[in-house]
Amino acid sequence: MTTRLAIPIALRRYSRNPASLIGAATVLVVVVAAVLAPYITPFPEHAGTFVDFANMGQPPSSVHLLGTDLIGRDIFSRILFGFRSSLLLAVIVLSIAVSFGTFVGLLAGYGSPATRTVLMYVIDIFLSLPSLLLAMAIIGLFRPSQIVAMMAVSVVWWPWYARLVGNLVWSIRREGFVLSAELVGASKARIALLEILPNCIPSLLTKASIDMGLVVLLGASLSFVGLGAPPPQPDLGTMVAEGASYLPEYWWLSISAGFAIFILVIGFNLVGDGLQDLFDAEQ
Amino acid sequence: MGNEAMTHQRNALGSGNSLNAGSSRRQFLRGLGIAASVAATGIPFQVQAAEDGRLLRLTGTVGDPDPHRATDIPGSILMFNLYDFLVRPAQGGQILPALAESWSTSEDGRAYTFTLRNDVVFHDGAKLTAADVVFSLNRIKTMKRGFSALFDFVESVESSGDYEVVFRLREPYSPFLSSLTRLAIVNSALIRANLADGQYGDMKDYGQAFLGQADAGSGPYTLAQHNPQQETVLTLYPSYHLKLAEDVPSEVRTLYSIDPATVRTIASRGELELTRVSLPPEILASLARLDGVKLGQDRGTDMMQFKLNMMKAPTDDLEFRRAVSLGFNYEALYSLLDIAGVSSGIPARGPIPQGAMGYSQDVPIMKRDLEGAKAALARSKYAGDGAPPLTVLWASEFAQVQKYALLFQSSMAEVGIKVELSPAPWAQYQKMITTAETTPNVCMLYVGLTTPDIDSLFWPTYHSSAAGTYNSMQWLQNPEIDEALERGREILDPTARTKHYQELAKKISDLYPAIFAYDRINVVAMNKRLKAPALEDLNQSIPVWGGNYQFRMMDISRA
Repeated sequence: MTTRLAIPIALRRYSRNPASLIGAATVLVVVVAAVLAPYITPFPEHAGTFVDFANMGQPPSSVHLLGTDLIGRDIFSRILFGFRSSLLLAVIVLSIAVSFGTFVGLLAGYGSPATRTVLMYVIDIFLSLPSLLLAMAIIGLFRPSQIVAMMAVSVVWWPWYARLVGNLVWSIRREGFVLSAELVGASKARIALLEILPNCIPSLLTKASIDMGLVVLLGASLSFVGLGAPPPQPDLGTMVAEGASYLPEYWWLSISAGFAIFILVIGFNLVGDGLQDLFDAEQ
Repeated sequence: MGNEAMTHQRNALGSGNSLNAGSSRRQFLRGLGIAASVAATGIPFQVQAAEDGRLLRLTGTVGDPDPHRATDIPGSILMFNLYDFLVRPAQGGQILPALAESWSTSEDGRAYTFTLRNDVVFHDGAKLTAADVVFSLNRIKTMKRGFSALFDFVESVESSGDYEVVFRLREPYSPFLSSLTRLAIVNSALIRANLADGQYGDMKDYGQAFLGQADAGSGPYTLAQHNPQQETVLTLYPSYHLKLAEDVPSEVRTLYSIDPATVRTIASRGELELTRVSLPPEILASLARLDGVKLGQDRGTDMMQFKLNMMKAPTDDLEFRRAVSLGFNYEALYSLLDIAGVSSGIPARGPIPQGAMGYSQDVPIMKRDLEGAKAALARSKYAGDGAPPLTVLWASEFAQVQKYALLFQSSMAEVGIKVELSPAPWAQYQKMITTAETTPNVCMLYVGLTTPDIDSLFWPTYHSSAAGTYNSMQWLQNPEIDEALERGREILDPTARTKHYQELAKKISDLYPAIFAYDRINVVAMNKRLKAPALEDLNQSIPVWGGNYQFRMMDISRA
């Protein structure tokens, strides 16, 4: 059984779905904007140590496309820098969660029955706790910062991957290609990594792409309740929270940051849907 | 009245359940409307107002109704409205007679004899006598809660007849009369009848459980309801012995846990007469544009200070602190103090806030001196790149203070000092500042007088024995300052005391223990139907915590 797909065919199939294309384009634009933020934002210094009380609370204009906040900083510039924080959070969290979760999932699915029982209980315990509350509790033990937020979200995210991989491996552990490898004397580690793991990758990719948006949302939620990056670092969730008190007069404070989060999340969701369709078609 | 209103709410909200039991469609819709109101504003819609229309609704934070436990502004407001005191604070820091008709002091300054009014009646109808004064002092001293430290100097108190009471002090103590503005007189018989299990021997819990939910006072208001999750309701005590305003509020409701956006919403709907809590200037400016709303000024003696931890590097160095103090952009801060044409503060003149003893117009306001700051930094032991970053703490609940923190960071960047900002919720803030090691380099906070005497600010702020509280976050452990503070308590002559505290303020300033930013005037939004002299005329303000919220002096015309 193989899941490898010729890249041109895959691209053609993916591009048949307009929504997936829009999602991919959105993600691409956001990533490029975030990477090039210091060079393309009109006021890059507004992402750092900067105050300009004379210009605070300015509505959107040709100078400040999305207006200024109540410190006098350009919101458009801060949103582009905020994309950086959000994307960094999502990439690091998913790198940790996918790696660790997959490792635990392989152990649970291809280890001994006792190992599986214990690990699945541990995974279920983690999954039974509300993600946001658990992350808040973890952050509460330390001084809030982006690194602490990343660690906290990783802790609440890995069990999803562990359960996904654990169940996938459990369902294919008696497939012919696995048994054949066992018969020829391949080690368990080799079978797990080279025979079983590749069969999990489509599901992992699909879930990870959808989770990018969800991690961004959870990060924004943590920032919204005051557990995000400390000022003056731009943070989309914090921007929404700070602006919420000033609705409706200063609508651009919250709306623009909220819309930025929406764009990011919907982009990743559409990409995830496209990947899911692609792999489903293959199967 | 309050209980009636709550009953109406419960009935209305519960009508969804009773719909199946045959209640009318109108009841259901009413319940739905109230539920929608709760969802939209976060607070229950007030179903029933005061019968005479003289209802005063304000926003606030929860205060402790027990006057011998309260230590903050909300507790002070309850204290001043539910209870009476031997003397009371008045405009300009004066001390006026209240329950005490007159008093005399012994020549050595160690004995005070008070003659009480004989016409004061508690809310339950019992007469207030000297025995209640004795009981009250013993209660606060025994419990060691609230403002009990103000009475450490009292050796004994005894009644001499029903209406005379004598306080004996261990040594002369100038702030004693001011301290008495914090000794609420409680109904001893009522408390004795409501004791619960506790640690004080015969006095069991000293009535703490009872006074947490009820009052035992003789003040202009009674405590009708106290729900820390929702609101506190006070009702007028019509037999109060002092003058009441002509249209004095007959009911006062303090609503809790309301965010600024909700305050603005309910105020714009005419469902709020006074926004007591500190609101962001942008919200106040937006409220000021509404018909029927005006801005008022609550001037106490609060000062915004950026306290510099003198026991932690790099703010342990005098020249470094001088650099920080000179390098701050005061002018930018002052530019933030105007809110829709109303001043929310005036530049500070040293460590003594305006309205307090020793305040002097001769002390210059702070101005930025960037070159002076750089020169001081070069003289400090942290010259070059040797200084660790300054950590800055403020209570994250105060959005406005974040502006000051960012301004501070930007100012210090120009001096060449690195700054890390680290806001924390107030509960966490208080834990962080209990030791010098965990106290950040810079702590931003409003501090003020708790009695009309400057000692009530200076002692807890600068005396070594008082370290470990939010007042003393600069950790000034200085024997010379300690000695001067102790001497200040012994000087009985007011003129000599004033001079003493002015000299002390100068000595403190020269140590740069803080950036003395500005004297705060808390701007509030008020319904135009409300007349509150202490909030509308700065000369009428009473410069202690909660002093401007004596509801008996307010008029509210009928809705």
